[in-house]
Parts: sequence; C-alpha cells; structure tokens
Amino acid sequence: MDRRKVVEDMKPFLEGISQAESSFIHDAKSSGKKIIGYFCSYMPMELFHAAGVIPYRIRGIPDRDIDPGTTYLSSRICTFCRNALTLALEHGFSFLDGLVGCNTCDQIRRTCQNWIIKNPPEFTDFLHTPRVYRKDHVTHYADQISHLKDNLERWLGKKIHDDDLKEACATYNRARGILRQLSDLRKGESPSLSGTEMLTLGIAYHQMPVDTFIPAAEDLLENRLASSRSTEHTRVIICGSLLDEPDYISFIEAQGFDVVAEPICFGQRSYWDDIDLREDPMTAIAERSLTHFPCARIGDSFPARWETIYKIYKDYHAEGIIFQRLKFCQLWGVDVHNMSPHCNEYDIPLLQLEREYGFFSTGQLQTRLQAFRELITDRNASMP
Amino acid sequence: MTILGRERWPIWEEAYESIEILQDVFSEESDDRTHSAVLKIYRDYIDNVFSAIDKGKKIIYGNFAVPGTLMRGFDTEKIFWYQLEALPVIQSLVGEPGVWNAKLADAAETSGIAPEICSVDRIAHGSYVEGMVPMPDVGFYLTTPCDSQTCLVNNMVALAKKPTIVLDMPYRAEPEEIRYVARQFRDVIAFLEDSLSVKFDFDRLRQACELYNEMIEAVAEWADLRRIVPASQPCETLSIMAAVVTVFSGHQNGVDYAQETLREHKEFTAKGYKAVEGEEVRAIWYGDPFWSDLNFYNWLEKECKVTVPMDMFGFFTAQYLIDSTTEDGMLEGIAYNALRNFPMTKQLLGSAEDYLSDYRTLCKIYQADFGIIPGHLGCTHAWGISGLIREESERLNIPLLEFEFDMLDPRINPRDNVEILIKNYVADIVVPLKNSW
Repeated sequence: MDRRKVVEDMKPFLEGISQAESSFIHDAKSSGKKIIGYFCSYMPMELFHAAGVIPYRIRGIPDRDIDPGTTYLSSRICTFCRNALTLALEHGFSFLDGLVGCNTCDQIRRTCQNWIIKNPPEFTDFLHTPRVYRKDHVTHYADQISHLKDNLERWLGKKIHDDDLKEACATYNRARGILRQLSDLRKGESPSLSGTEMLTLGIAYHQMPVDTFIPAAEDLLENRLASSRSTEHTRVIICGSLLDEPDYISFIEAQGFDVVAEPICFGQRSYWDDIDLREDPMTAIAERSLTHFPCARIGDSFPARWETIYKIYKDYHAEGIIFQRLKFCQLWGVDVHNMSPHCNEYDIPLLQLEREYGFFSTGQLQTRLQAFRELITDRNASMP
Repeated sequence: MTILGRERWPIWEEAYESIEILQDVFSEESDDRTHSAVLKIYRDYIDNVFSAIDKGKKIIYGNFAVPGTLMRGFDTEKIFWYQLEALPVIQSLVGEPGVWNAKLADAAETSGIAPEICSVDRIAHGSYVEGMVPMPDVGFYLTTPCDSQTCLVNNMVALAKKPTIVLDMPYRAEPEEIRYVARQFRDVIAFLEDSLSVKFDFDRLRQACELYNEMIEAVAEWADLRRIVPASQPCETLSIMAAVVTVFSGHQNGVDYAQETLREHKEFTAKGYKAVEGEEVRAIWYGDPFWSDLNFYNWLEKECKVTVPMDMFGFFTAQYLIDSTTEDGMLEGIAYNALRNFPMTKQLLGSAEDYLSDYRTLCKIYQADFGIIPGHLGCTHAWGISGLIREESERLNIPLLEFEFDMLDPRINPRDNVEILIKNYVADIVVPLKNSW
C-alpha cells in the first residue's frame, strides 16, 4: 500500500478536525452560512442542515490549560467539559453563530448553561432529549425538535419545509452509508483503514459541512477498496465514553493493536443506523435518534448496548474489548460492571482504561496495553 | 435481635435496635415530638419491608424520585414499593454509616462501579450485590434527579433481569411536559398491572393525593414558620424532612410527621425556645444534608452558634397542591410535584436559573448571613454550577463557604474537618462581616 497516497486521501478529514475553526468552516462562514454548535450524537443534525445551517459538534483542544473551565465547573467535572468551556469562555468558538444545548448528561448540560450565561452566541436553545425510548418518547422528542425548528425559523427568518428535511435526511443517510462501508473494510483480515483513520472520519462527519464530507469520503472509499494493509496486530474494538482524540487510538495501535471498530458516539454509534425516509421526517429523525444503538445516558439501555457491541465484536472478528472512560464520567461508570459477566461468559478479554481529556500518561498506558496484548496472545496460543 | 419475630440481615437488625433504643430515650423527653415521630415511621417502614417479604408480596424496586403518592393507588396488601436508597438513608439516620455504608460502597466499587458515582447509588448497589435487601419482581424508575441515578437504573436492569419501566423526566416543567409525565404514569400503571396482576384504583389514589396535600400544607406552613428570627426549632429537624416526605408522600405517616413537626415548631416558638443560645448566625445549607452524622447539626448550633433555617432539601411549597377531582388532575398534579416540588429535581434537573433562583429566594426570605455549599462528591450537576453560584452569592453580598464531603460516607471528609472549616469561616469571615453591617 502506498502510504503517501493514504495520507493524501485522509487530508480533507485531517484538515476538517485539525482545529476549532477549520478551513471548511471558515469558507462556509465566508460564504454567509451560519454555524451552530452542539454536543451530542442525539442532536438532529438533519434539522440544522435543512435550515441551511452547518452543525458543528463541539470538541476541546488537547494539551491546554483548562483553569477557566475548572473555575466554573469545579475539578469534579470531566476534563472534556472543562476543556470545552474554557475554549468557550476564551472566545475559542467565536465562529459559532449559535449553540443548542441538550441534557446529554448532567455535566454537558451544565457546561452548556455556563456557556450560555457567560458568553452566549447569537442564537441559543436547549433541546430536551429523552433518556428513555418508547413510542410516546419518540412523539415527545419530535415535538421538542419541532420547537427547535420554530425557534430556528424565527432566528433565520425563513421556513424549513418538509422537503428540505427529507432531503437532509437522505443526505445524512448517504454520509452514514459511506461511513459504514468504510468501517466494514476492517472486517477482513487486512483492514485497509486503521482505527485512527476511522475515528478521524467519525469526527470529521460531525465537524465538516456534510456536502464537503460526502465526496471526500466517497473518494476515500474508492481508494481504500482497491488497497489493503497486512498486519499481524491484535484486533480489538474500543467502546465506552466520549473519545474524539485520534492520537489516543494511534497510541493504542502503535502497541500492536488494530482498532477494528469503535462503537462510541464519534464512531459507529453515530452512523450505525439510518433514518426511515418513508416516515414523516420529524418523527423519523426523532425515531432514529432515540432508537439508534444507545448511549449509557439512556435509562434502561445496557441490554441493547451489549447486544450491539457483541454483534460488532463478532462481525469484526475482534479478539478483545478495550473500554475507555473519561475520569468523572458517571454515565459510563457502571458499564464495565455490567459488561464483565458477559465478557466472562463469552471468554472475551476486557481492558478498562480511565483517561483524562487531552493528554495521557504514555508510560502507564503502554504497560497496560502490552500486558493486555500478551494476555490475548497467550489466550489465542492456548486455544485448540 | 429479631424483626417481626425472625432473624433478619444484620444491617437491618442493628438499625432496628438503634430505633428501639432511641425510642426509649425520646419517649422520656415530652417536648421532642419530631424524633419520636421519625423513629416511629422508620420503624414502621422496616416492619413493612419484612412483612412484605414474609407475606410474599410483590416487590417493586424504585429509585427515590418515584412518587410515593402514585404507588398508593395499588393495593398495598399485594405489593410493596421498595426504594433502593431506603437502606443507606436509614443507616445514616439511625445506624452506623461509618461501618455499613462504607462497607457497601466498597462492595460496589469492588464489583466494578466507578468511585465517582454518587455514594447513595453505590451503597444501594452494594446492598443489592451483598444480598441485604429484598429481591424485586419488577422495576419502576425515573431518570431523575441525576446521572448517578441513571447508572443505578442501568445496573438494576442488568443485574435483576426483571421487567422494568423507566420514565423520562423532562428538562422543563411547562404544561406540555406535565402532560408528558402524566401520560407516562398511565404507562406505568398499565405496566405494573400487567406484570404483577394487580389493579390500580383511582379512588385509592384520590385518598393518597388528599393525604399528600395535607402533608405538603403542613410542611409548607412549617417551612414558612422557620423564617422567624431567632430560630426556635433545631435545624436537625430540617435535615430529616426530605427523607420523610420523599418516602411517605401520600401516606398517613407522612402527614403525621409533618403535623408533629409543625406543632413542635409552634410550641417551641410559644415557649420562647431558641435553637442557638446567644446571637445566632443564619446559614442556608444549599446541598445535600449531613446525613452521615445528624449530631453534626447539634454541634453547629451549640458550639458554632450557627443555625440553618432552611436547606435545599427541605424547601417544599404548597404552590402545587394536587387536584384530586379527576384522574388527569391527579396524575398531572403528581407530575408537577415530581418536577417542581421535589428535592434536587426542583433545583438541579433543569436550567441553571432554577438552581440560582432558589438560592436567591432562600437567602432573602430566611435572612441568611452566609451560604454553605456542602459539595457532595458525586453530585456533578451541583458541582457543574459551582462557579455561577459563587458569582450569585457575590451579587447578593452573602459569603459562601464550599467544601467537599459525602452525605452518607463519613470517610470522605470526617465531621471533625468540616467542623473546623465552618468554625473558622464563621469566626474569620461571617461574624466580622455581620458586625460591620
């Protein structure tokens, strides 16, 4: 495989996630587009797109001082939130025209509220996203999204029509479809895409204008379909809390692993399911949001989550699971407890890693990863 | 020690024994109505737990925000609603939290629960994995007041493997949201009727709503009386109110306790009792109570001359009485109270303004000399607003003391440390400022 070519075809995505205001965002703003920030994979990106607005998922900047955020949120809140709020307080997101908060978790909810009170962008709103899914919750969520639509219409001074919504749903389905195809390239023995690259794509999907993302992703798919990468690495999937740092995956892969799947919110969770285009678009958006394979924020979600993780584990021929969690993230603080009996039952090696946002202790992490790899290697060697 | 004539789990027996001893102590003190009342209802509660087990009643697990009033619509001869937080709270109020709560929190962590999860939920989880609580037939939970509760729900679904229903509690509390919650209550009723083969009776619910209203009216009147300066009733009483109201809403025991507390307050005021001898300093305790050691409140008043006229958990109002004339009126009234008249949920589930405005109100109407933010370690939505509350307090020109502690686990920040913090803060900051006014 021509590595230089690989770097070339990833360039748009690396640019798309390289800094808070990428050239794509800068260009879009220059052409008069408005940008709306949001935090969570449960947000209706399709609605923003239909409104002619670019949805931009908030990330922090690694390796930076987060004291201003800590002042408001305290040191008991996860470093991702503190990092993002610091950026917001220091005008790092000044290119955003709006912010739509949601009750993803208590910590992100508070981060949004601090941001809106201390340094609000022009448009702000808050979307209640149910933490349970049954039929009534889908209806309620569709109503909530409708309220957001009304507020956006008032702000933008234009109507958002059903046809716009349907087209946006189709566009995002297309983007999700390409991402699934790209991810599936890792099912084979010689994955032509690394976990680091796939996470980069997952982040870019949330941060680039989707109309720019799709053709670049199609080019990448075409290119990678024609290539392969032979490795002797140990195949693992990585799950758990928010992770938007490709460097973290890169470090894991440098220790002899191939991250073949990442069922996390910047990974497969965000593109695993499509919107049903036959339904009323508002209901269909709400339905997909609430029924896509669930985050730990959903109240009775573990059985559904485990079912999907196990399916991914089998489909991608993984040999182990790495569960990572941001320190102080409560919602993901019980999943290992719930996963362990299943992993024992199916003889799946499981490694739990706790991390901080934006930096990690390479020595300690290296030791734990090497030990985990040895464990898997020994286990494989002892199998008949 | 036996409970209802049988040996039980030691953790329950010890609490029960403590209650019996304390009942002997307080029965001799005729003035003290609230201790006697709370001991009686917690003894009743423990009796009911074991009576339910002995009689083979269907056990419904719930988290602490489940509205008790709604549950009274079911035939209590056939079902028992067990709040997962009941044991940790009983341990704290009448047991040995330093022993049992610590042991159960550790058991949860050993089983894989992250230490950042609220201790209430870790201890509840620990009591389940250690087999010290009745086993459930079904689960009924709410996604309030916090993420830790959602974690507990996810655990219980995974561990108990019983039919479960979870209700989504919305961010706002406008009429649309109230109807949304009320509709979910109907889902719950149908679910429990199907799962347990029991009938829900709206006439029973009506009686419960009337009892709830009676209780809340007494609590609200009592809360209003607590504005008086100087304070007449000890603040320890305040710290217990939420533990009673949340478990016994819609139940005669809740009414009895609230009315006894109100009567006691009136008597103490009439007799000229003072919670603090000499000049008092008034603090708004804006966070979780110091349940790991209730004697702390006595120290606060006797040694430090600080009284707490109102805290976050005790701030109930009679604004949202339940309309018991129609089925929808009852369900919507319960929904409204679950969102807007329930400790923590009221201040912490929704917008930042909900939290800040209650603080402003409390400081103003209870004439606070300073505010205390007892930073319960696992309470992320309170930590997440710590900067804004500091700024709010500055605007009000009210000094604010913040510290870390754990409401149920005394190992985190022992009482001695907290006492030193408060004592120094009052002496160095609050009193000089008060004198300068």
